[in-house]
Amino acid sequence: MNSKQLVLDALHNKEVERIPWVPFVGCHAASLIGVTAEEYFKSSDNIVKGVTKAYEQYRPDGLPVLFDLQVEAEAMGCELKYSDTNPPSVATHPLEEGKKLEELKIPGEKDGRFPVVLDATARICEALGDKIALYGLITGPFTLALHLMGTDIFYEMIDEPENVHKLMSFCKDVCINTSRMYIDAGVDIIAVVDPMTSQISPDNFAEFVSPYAKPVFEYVRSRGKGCSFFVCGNAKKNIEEMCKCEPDNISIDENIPLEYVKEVCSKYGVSFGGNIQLTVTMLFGTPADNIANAENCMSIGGKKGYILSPGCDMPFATPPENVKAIASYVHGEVAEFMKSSNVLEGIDVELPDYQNEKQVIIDVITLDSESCAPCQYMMEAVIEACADFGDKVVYREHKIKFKESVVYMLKLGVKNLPTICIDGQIKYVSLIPDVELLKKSIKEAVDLKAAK
Amino acid sequence: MEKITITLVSLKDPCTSCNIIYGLVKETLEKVQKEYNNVELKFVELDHIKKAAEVEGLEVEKFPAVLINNEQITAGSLLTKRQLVSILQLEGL
Repeated sequence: MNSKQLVLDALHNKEVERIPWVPFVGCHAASLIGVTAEEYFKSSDNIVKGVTKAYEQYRPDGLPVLFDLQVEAEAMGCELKYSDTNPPSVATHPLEEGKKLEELKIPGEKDGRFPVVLDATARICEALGDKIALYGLITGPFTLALHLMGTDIFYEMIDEPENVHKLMSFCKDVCINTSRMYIDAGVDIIAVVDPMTSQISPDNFAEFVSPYAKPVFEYVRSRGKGCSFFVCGNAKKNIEEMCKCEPDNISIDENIPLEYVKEVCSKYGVSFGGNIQLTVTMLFGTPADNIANAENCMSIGGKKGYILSPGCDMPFATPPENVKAIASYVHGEVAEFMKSSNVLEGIDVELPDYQNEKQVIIDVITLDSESCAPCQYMMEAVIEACADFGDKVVYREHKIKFKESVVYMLKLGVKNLPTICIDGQIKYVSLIPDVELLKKSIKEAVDLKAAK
Repeated sequence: MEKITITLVSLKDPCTSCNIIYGLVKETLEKVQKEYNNVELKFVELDHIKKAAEVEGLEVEKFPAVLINNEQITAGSLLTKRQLVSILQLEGL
């Protein structure tokens, strides 16, 4: 199973044998190699090192070559304020400061930081391009327009819509040219990242964004590459309009329910991706929290037309163990991950002597049925199934947020979550069994015990 | 003239979108402060989401958040200068 093909198949809405995993490693890569975000974004050597390190550590099926929505703006004259732990931010807007649109030039290979970015892209594509899918991220036309004009654009949309149309048409040309540069450097997928569209209504989206985003996707497809439309923030109201722009894929963050996006995208034949929580889970959560969040996303997304990813650019200080935890779940290796993470030293748990216990013991290994939907459904199935057997059967949930439960999991040989074991035997893995089927399995165990 | 305090609250290590919105909102606040000398600006950066409870008036934990005199008016969305001035005029600007 080739990772790159996995991503491309999911992007094109095909059924896959495993959900592909694409961590959006942007400025976080700087922390992996011990440099500041500024040092990272200004050096092709650092970008190559950072992306390579992310590939080695996180076992992704795809990666962005860079996550910086300020490259085009800087190349057209926006001053940037760099930071140690964030992408740079735009500090000036040329069109607000008196520059005319006609004076702006579409940036090319030699402008701004494009030499650095394209050099890094070519080298990453050479090194990793046959292994994983590589994304070139471009700033979407509306976000780019905001960078160039500032917040006055919202009033121009009402007062002088023609000016905004001219600006958006120019931004579309910038997007197409940036896409061309990334494609020529070797990427497989162009992601049009337009977070500021979350700030406008569907009507404004249809009038001011759609006519300029759609041609970008058309161009990318004409080059034989995949295309994705990324948005972050509460853009639920605009998902339908985004689909109408005909990208292959839409990627969203935690502000939009994944089930909703799945429903809308399926009407348009568009695949979708997301939306592991960035702050609460990836940055501040535990490895178990991250596995739970990934599991929830994957159970909703399914194996057709879905790509697992964070909601947006991962924070600089995201603990690598959290990202590795997600990767372990994706690859069905949670047990190995837990064993290798050295959290279990000094914890010892005795398994019961199942054969000699009077009751049949159902062990349910979960992330946490209170926070993980598949775990909750599995526990509910077990509770309902056990009700018929009275005191002949006892069930226990082992939540792996507790170290003792992790040891239990390892001793039972459980590799995936959630899992039901009956008298120490693994019976149901990940899939929630039908209650009647589960009752049948429990009855078999009860009868076996009674016969002894 | 009564002092009006505008607080801009952000989370350390924001996502790309929040970073862009923060920059634009900060610009807007600074433009307004230049024009109205009774406006005081405060910038609060939280290093953990749990610290949100320590910010008076912060109710919706989406960032960046703008509070005027400890009353939250935005949660993760942009604020233009015209919108801000209209709100401040209601506060007696």
